[in-house]
Amino acid sequence: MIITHLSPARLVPLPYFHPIPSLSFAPSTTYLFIGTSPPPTPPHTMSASDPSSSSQSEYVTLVSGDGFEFVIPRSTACVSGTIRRMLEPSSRFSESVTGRCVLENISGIVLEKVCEYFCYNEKNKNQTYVPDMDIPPELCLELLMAADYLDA
Amino acid sequence: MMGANSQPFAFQLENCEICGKRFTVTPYSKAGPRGGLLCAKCSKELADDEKKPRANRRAPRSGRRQKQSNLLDGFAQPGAPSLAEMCTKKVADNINDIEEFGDLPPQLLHRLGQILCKRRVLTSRTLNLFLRSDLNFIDIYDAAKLETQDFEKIFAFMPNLYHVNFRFASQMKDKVVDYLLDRDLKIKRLQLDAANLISDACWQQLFRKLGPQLESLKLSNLDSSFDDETVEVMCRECTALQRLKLKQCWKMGNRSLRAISELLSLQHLSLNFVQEVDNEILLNTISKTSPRLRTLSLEGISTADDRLLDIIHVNCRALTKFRFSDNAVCSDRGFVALFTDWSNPPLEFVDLSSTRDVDNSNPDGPADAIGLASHGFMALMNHSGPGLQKLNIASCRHVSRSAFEEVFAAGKTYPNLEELDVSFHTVVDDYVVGRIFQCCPKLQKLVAFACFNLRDAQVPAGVALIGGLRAQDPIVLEGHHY
Repeated sequence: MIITHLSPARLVPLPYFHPIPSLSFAPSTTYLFIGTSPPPTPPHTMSASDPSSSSQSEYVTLVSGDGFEFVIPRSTACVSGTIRRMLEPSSRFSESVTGRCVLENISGIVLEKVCEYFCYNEKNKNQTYVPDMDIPPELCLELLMAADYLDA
Repeated sequence: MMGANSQPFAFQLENCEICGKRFTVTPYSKAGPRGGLLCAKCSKELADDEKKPRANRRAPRSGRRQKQSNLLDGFAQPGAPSLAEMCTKKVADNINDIEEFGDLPPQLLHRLGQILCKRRVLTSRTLNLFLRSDLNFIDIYDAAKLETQDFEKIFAFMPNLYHVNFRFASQMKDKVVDYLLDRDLKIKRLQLDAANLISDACWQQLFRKLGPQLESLKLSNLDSSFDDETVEVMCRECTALQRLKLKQCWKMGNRSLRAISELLSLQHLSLNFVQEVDNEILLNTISKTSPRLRTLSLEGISTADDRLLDIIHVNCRALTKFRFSDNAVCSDRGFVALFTDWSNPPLEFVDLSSTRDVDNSNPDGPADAIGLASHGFMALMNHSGPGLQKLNIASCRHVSRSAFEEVFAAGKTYPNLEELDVSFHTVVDDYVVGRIFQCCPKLQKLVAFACFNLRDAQVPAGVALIGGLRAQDPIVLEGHHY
């Protein structure tokens, strides 16, 4: 897993998915805010600036809201229904063109755990006994919200 | 001095090798990493460090217990659980450190409630986490620890409630129902289990107030109240009722059964009587309600005979779920007649468990078989095979091996069957189970308690075989030992 830090994060609109419940922001809570994303910008306006990362690349890049980048194998990331649909070549979303998913509502620390889960899931594929993954108690609620959003 | 590493005697003074402090040497002082002596504090720390790895030095965990536990829950899918499921469990582990859930989506809230109830930790404190005025449903699968004011709090905080489900609601009293009725809630679905502190007068008041709006009513385990008169009031008031389930209500008898026949919009009916009911009244009730029914569940009605099956055959056109269990009167011929040329579409859920002859002096039963036997089973699978998702034929002891072979013959498939219970069928052996796996591509769960001829079945990956003689053995998956 390669982690780099960009500052400031490049802003790419997230595709809009109907199955994701739209949640309203409650200012009193300190938990992760997951809101509806703006509708997708038509693909031709997207900056497919990086020609090397085509939609067929073996790796994809997940970017957290605070600018951390995680480069992980495409197959592991597609455990998440949301990411899989983002990267679906037929969708022609900017994510599927560039292989880069910006998850603005997920912080780096949570996204790191999510990526750890993707790899843990891949490693334990077809195992009958799967040891528990370590989840820090203080992260579990935020991670739960992220898991719900990512459909993982 | 003999040499650098000669040890000072006990009660001499020495400087500790690690922390450098001067201390009195005792017989318990430990040697440090470079051969010197350690003070009492550092000795203890060293000893603790040595102990730790020993405690961890266990055999690698095979997870057999966990696997068996998952199997009994019908969970045999290989691989890791979903991230959401793992996080939900983790949240449940740390429930006492959580102040509020924030905007947790309703389906996760529901799952969390299930886990907490299963662990029996749903108390006044944890209940507060679930009280959200924006939600219109509440499911508490174990309300045994909640008290009167907790129930009142639920109705106070959630004004939009339309779905209420409290199990083990043993502390729900008349006072709570009065409060609920005062609040003028729009409850449409009500399920209460073991609410024995509610009096008959209060039940009747509840039906008079909420009756017209109720669409679904499920009551179970009521022994001290809920008598025939209350049921009559209920049937008079709840005119829009589509779903009715009454299980183990001790005071209900024939009058109640007669009253239920007046419910004209019922689509789902589940009855489990404690008292013995009159067969004629049962026939009358079922013939009046059955044409509209999509679910019919009759448990433990020992007096019902073949005429009931005939009424179902003639009347039912929309049935998808059919349970008729624990009966020793209906004959195999009756079941054949029911499932042959039946204009009802294929059933999705069938439970005919424990329909069999019980006479210990004649274990094979009479020549004219009682209960679902070979021919009835074949007729059932001919009629419902394509649609069937769940089938329970446990203890239907007169189904022969050749009937199983016929039903699960090569070339036959039951494309939707996910769960099958063949417990107490001693004719089921490794060959028959192999055939079952062949014919049911979607099978997830096969329950086979007390199938004594089942020894070394090859269980495909992703199928949970529950019961079986060798539950203690490692699981065998397509020939690979794990």
